[in-house]
Amino acid sequence: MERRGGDAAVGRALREAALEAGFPDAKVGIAASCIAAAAATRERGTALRVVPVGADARYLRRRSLDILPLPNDLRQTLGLLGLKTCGELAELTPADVELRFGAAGVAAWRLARGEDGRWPFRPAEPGLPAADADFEPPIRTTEPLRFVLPGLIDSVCAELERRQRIPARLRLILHVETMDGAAEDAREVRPARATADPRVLADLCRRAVEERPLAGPLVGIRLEAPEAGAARADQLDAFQAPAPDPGALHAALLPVFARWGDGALSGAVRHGAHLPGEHAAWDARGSAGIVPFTDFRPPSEDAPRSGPELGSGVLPLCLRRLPAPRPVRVREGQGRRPLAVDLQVAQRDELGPGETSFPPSMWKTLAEGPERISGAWWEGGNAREYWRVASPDGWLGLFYRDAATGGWFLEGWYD
Amino acid sequence: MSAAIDLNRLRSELEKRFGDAIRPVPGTAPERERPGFRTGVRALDQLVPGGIPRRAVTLWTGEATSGRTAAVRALVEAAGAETRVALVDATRTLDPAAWCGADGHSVPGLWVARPPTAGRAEEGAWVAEQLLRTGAFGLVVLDGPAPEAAELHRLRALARETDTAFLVSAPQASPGARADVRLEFRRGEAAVAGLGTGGRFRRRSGVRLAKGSGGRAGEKEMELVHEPTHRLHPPAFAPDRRAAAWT
Repeated sequence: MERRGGDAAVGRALREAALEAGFPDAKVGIAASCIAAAAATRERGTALRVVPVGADARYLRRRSLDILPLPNDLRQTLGLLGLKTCGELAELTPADVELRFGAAGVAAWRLARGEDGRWPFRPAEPGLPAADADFEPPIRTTEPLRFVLPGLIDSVCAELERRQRIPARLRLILHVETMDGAAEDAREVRPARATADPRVLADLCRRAVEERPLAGPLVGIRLEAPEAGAARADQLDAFQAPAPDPGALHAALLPVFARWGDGALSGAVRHGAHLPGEHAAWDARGSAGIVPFTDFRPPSEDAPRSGPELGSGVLPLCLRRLPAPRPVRVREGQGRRPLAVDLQVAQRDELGPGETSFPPSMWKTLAEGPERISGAWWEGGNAREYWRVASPDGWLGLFYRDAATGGWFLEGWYD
Repeated sequence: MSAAIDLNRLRSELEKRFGDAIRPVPGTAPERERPGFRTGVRALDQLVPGGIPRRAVTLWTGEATSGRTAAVRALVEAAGAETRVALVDATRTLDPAAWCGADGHSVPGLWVARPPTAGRAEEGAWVAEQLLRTGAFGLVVLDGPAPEAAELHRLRALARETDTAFLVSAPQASPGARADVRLEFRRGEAAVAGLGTGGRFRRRSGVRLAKGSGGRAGEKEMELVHEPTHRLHPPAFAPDRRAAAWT
């Protein structure tokens, strides 16, 4: 303060900055304690008040009790007893205050005397927010953790809340007893976005614990928050169409993620390779894809719907690829052109429940090809001749002949 | 002018200005029925003029190369401009190339759920149920084996509860399963051109409205085409020098 010209000069600079920022009624109060500074900003008739160092208690003596952050019942009781100013409260003996009003009364008494331990902007505390629990005797199943985890999560969230943060990533460290002695088993929990929703965090932690079995009896557990995010309270916009809440969507679909993994939320990405199987891929985005999904707003959501226009009469077919190419029997003609194809009845069941819609065994074909594709020499290489093969009744499939082995495979069919 | 007409005028004025942001508290005013999703495919839109209805189960069945998957893609593309869409690829057979847009990615409002391994297609109905339950989607599509009758009954109740259109695209219907709208796809008898030079394919396919209200009876035809565009990607400035035919 002294380097900048003293308290009054700093106060004037702050006031000018506030005026420039568009706050014409801004007031500045400077004091050694938060409560005295807050009282100084409420003083009538002046826009800047500096309370000298060591004079907080004297300054507060004539101020109303309204400036103190008190519970409503305590404020009402003090009013009924005729106490109106901070000075009147500060003159009481602390023992009497504690006896009559408990801990809340003592806290108010201290504030009235200018004894305020709060910081206006508190620096981050060192160390990771963490909570521990020990088990004596050791537990052999994860079932009791269902009851322990919510308490640990509450502790970590409360610690982060003091720093105005919420968990973005949690680490569970399980202390287990093994044949070789004590061991640690760390498991990561990452919600779709930073959240303090205890239900979401508890579900994620439970899923992480049950992901794989314990290596031995559990003697303790530690929950840490190595990564935290800013606590956000999104302003609801009455003029925006409602969108799903990412945290709620994540919580609702946790069972799907648990069963189907990250593939439960996938998106298509084109890579441009020549092989049909590598031309594009399904990108498993997992819970990280929830926020972009909820942020997306359909383009014509609010636009008026078009009239009853008739669409196109032509429809481009889509390829359906088998999870793995299936070997088939092919009778080759000149130039290795497939003349007849047998999908092999025994394997047609693997094509799915619609196997009846696939052509019967050994049928004559119309074939177009080959489309020769080779490459990936760095992975052993591949050389294939692709053929589009149609059955007489209109079924269209994609086959290839592997040049290395001479074997024929069904890659998929068009639908 | 009656109070009801006044309310409707006020609501339409508010919707014109603020879209769906202004909504009455549920239960305090009669819900306006929202229209279904049209596919942009002439034959389908003629058969079901109101589109794939919300609060109902629609079943599409059909053999391979009947154009059922192509119709699903057209529907998802059209509906994606109006709402968020969920697609369950229960059999893991949908090729991603067909679902990429011009930017090389699927639309951000499309949620595709796929099992981690093949052979878990039967779980698709359960996943569709979870997706329906969230109420976050305007359209949920289950591509895979049709759910059993009891499952379908539960799914219909969820679709009605969440004002969602639910479509099942399956090779065949399960016994006893009842859908509100049912379309049957089949390969057409006559070929337009069949399989031609360079792997190009053109053939007719038939669609029949087997069950539905407000739709038109009879069968409509659509033309299925396949252009093997993925084999090479010549840039726009270079001519396509692919051979007319391989021998």
